[in-house]
Amino acid sequence: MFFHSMRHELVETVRKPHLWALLAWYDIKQRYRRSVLGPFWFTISTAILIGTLGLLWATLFKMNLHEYLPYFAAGNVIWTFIAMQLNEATTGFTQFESLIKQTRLPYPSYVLRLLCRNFIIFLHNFIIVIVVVTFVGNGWGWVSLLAIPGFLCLAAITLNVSFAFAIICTRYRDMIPVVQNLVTVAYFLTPIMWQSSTLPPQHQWVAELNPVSHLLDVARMPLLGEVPSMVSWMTALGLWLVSAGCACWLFARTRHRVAYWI
Amino acid sequence: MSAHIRAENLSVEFPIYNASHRSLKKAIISASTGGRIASDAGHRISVRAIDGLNLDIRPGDRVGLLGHNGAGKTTLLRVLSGVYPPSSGSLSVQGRVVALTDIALGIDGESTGFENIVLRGVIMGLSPKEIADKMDEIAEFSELGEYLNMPVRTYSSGMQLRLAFSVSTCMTADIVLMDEWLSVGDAQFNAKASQRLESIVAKSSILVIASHDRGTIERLCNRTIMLEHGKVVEQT
Repeated sequence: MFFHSMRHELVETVRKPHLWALLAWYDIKQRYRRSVLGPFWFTISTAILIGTLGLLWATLFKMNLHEYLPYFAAGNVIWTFIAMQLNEATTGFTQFESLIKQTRLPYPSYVLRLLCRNFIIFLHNFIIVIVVVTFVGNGWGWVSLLAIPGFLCLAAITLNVSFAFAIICTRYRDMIPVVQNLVTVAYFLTPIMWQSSTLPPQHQWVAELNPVSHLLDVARMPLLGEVPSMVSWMTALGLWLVSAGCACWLFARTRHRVAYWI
Repeated sequence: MSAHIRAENLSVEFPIYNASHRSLKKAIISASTGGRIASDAGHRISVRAIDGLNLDIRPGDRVGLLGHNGAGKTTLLRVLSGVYPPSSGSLSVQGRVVALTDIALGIDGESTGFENIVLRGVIMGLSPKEIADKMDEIAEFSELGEYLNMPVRTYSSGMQLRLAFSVSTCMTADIVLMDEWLSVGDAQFNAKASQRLESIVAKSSILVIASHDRGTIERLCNRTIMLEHGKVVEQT
């Protein structure tokens, strides 16, 4: 019988990685077809953005380029991963309409497929971070390895949130532009282009109370040779628990209805 | 455990959404104003595609679904394949189900024939290992030879169907669901395809086939269910 409980569906998703990892790999292969560079086109445009904006900002605000450019590059590449995943998740189920209407695959596999796809693109873009940190920044050390658990935590939270968004945006189509706008606003309100240290003391709270800023820090700071603060780690773990709880609650309530909403 | 399909008082209702039902804003306004101002958000129209169906299909049953367009045949097949959970009533399906309703599902024009065998196989629920084991047999059956290294978009529609058919019918199952008897390719290939289809049906424990063609159903089935507006009007 098909997925008698939510638990069963989640377990089946994990047990069948070919439903998301393999299909995501084929999606990426698709982008390499008829184009030698494939997703590297995306990397090039990100590199140009980071290069020009980095130089411009460093000159305009007289910042130290050796410090600012790696910071901006790491933050921007990580944020691009989050933003692309959240934006694509708004059509996370509707873009697979033909599949969902014909066969019963576990629903989380669709959103995981998007996540894997975006992770592979992230790896392409990560080359920029490697180049910038190696040649402009502080180089690499043991601390850099902390970025791996940090990024895993960030990816897990992004998955939970994007899964919830996928469900909500399938039912309420007017939420698609709302989510997309939220993602854009979050980019400006989170210290990515600007550093929280440049904020005047009375406005420091913008960065400190912003959970996304802590989430970004657990993956970004190790790349810059610093250990993330305990507050950032705790915030990230808390976010993971809350987002997993919300996503499961929503999924348990809606998994019998998703096919009807497509 | 032996395969079976059992349904009790099974109903499937499709909500028909228009722009305002799709809107979270409208939903919130109607909740906060008691539905007075945004009364349009309240009256949701729904279509009952299957209405109080009772089924008891046992091993050995070959069931033919008959009915006009829109009678609920395809919806019933989708319910049996797990796509639409029942809106009310109960359904129990036991056994491995293979749905031959859309054999080209998952096929991607830009990918090569070999890649599409993997893509289609994964969507059907096969593991990469199972696909690798069957790869040669599928390739041979399709008779596409060297073409399997070419993108599927370069195929003729007959060749595409042959590929889709070869993968879709590569495994046997306890329960086979079919929407019309499949007919693919030229006369020679079609004869071979029909033979393969018959052997899958013969090995399966249960067949449910929807068809407009009385002849097909009389030839294959030992039971028929006549649907009209989602209700069973005649059952043997």
